[in-house]
Amino acid sequence: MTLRWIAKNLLEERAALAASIGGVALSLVVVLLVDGMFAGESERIVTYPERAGADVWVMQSGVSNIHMATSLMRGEVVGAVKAVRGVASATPILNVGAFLESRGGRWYSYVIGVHPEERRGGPWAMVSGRALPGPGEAVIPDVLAQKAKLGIGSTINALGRTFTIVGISTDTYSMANSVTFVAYGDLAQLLSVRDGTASYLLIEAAPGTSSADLAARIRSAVPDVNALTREAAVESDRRIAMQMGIGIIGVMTWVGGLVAALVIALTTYTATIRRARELGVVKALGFRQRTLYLTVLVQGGVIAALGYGVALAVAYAVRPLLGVSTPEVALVYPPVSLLRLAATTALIAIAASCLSGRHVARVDPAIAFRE
Amino acid sequence: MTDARLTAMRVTKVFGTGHTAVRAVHDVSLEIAPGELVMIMGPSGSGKTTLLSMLGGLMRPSSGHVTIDGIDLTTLNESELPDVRARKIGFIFQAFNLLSSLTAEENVVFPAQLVAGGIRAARTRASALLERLGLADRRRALPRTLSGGEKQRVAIARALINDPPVILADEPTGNLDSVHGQEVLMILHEVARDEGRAVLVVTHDPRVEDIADRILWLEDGALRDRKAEPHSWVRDPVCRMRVDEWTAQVSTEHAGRRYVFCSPRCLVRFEADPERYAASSGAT
Repeated sequence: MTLRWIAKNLLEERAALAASIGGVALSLVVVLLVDGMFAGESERIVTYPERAGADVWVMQSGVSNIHMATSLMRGEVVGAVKAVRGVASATPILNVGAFLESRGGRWYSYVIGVHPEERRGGPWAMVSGRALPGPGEAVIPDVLAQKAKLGIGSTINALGRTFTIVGISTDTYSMANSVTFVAYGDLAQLLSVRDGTASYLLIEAAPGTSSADLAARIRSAVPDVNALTREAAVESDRRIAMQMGIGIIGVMTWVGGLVAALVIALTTYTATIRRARELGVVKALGFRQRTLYLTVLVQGGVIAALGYGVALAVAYAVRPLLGVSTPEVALVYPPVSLLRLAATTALIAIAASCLSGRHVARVDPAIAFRE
Repeated sequence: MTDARLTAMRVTKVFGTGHTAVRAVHDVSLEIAPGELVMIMGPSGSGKTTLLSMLGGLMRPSSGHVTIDGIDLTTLNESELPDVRARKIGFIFQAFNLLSSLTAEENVVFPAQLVAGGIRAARTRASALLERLGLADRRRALPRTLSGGEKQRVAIARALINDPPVILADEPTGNLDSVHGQEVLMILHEVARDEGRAVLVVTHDPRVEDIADRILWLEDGALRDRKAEPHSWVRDPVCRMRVDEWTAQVSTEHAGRRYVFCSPRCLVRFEADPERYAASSGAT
């Protein structure tokens, strides 16, 4: 009956309830969207190391990332790696960050130099055109093509040279880490490095050789390189991405959480003030303090839970719309993030209710005798 | 009186300390037996509500003892008092104090969750009480749709749901017109006489005198002998009810004369059309 009373109290003031749920939902949506964008971007950032076809990534010693890193290995080092037992093939790629320019627009992208005859290192899914570029040619991501209004046959400038677009790839775009493919020879020339030099080596493990064993063997056999399994390379890039955004996410979560806490606290507090007389009457009738605490707690809990539910619905509703209107932004909601936000929201509800609980404790039951 | 249900022994309440101390109730002793309806009257600010709060276990006296059904409330701690309030005392308030979001029946049943038997058993009792108080067809109505008289009858049913031996009523007719006020008084009379409960009514309503077994006069926080001529009866110019102009709470001035009323409701009607009622006998 007490819960029924609490529920009816909430429903009796529908406008206040809706405003409170809306306020909580709005603050949580902000947290969810920022978190979701970051998670989406983190996933996109690691797409290249994940999909480029390497069992083991080999890079310059002291480097442990593909994203936000510079690596360069001489031809002799590359040869030494190829000679390690268990290496079935080693595909060298060159990698440099550069601005692509076309029709007055500039877009930052990693430019990957791949050998036209190699199976690894190039795009893994195409929208149109050829996957591997020849001299003077480039393959660009679909989102970039859409944003820059470029198509097959269009030209772009990178590193002071003009490339003709011969292919449009998909799954290769992210806000921080788009991937454009050009011919290895073109990039080697632009970087003024000798043929055979590589930024990274994409290693295919021989049948029966585990990636972890092979990476360890390469590290011990060739002192000037670092070797990571695909999983380790992906994890390393993901960690870098998370480190870069964790501060922003943390601040947004705090801000969103604080707003949600204030909304819940304000709602339960004003409801407590408005119903002080009823709470006094309930005390006078013989109900204990804990019943009144329960009232406030359930009230805060219901608002928080409904606010969270609405925020979740909005966040999922926004996702397909964003995919159409702003394809460069990917929204991903990892279950662990949703659970963490749910737990945070529950804690917020409890903390906010405690503030009102102090007022509840001071309600005088003798208020019932006052007219 | 040894079988008293409600006893106050030398109860005093002082608010504040030192030279700012205010003695709201001073050395009050009283006993109310089962089946007895006692009325406490007195001017505004005489300490009636403070005394009632202490008798109901809602406020601790500065000194003295309050006993209900053999339990000394002043020896109980804060966690024990709510249980006594739930099982031993039925409260009736001037402002009705129904829970606005609950129906009439839910309001009646609400305190039953505090006692053995719980809600299920209480529903049957609530139905019987609402039936008896003429509210059978209003059980699903929300308080805002009830008249003042209906609200007070629901409040009485709520006060009776846990079968308490003591009923404390604060101005139970204060917000009712004469007809509904009379109804409520008759119900309280029955509750005392037929059910053997000790009923204490704090009121300005002189009609309670007709049904009260005893009348106590509280003035300046102390029980005193009643004045020889405490009443000066006049007629409410609107409803024609007899009103004691000496203790009347509701009054107004019109054309240089003072008019007293049984309730704010009659005052409102008077003010809407004073000329219509001015010639009546409520003027003093």
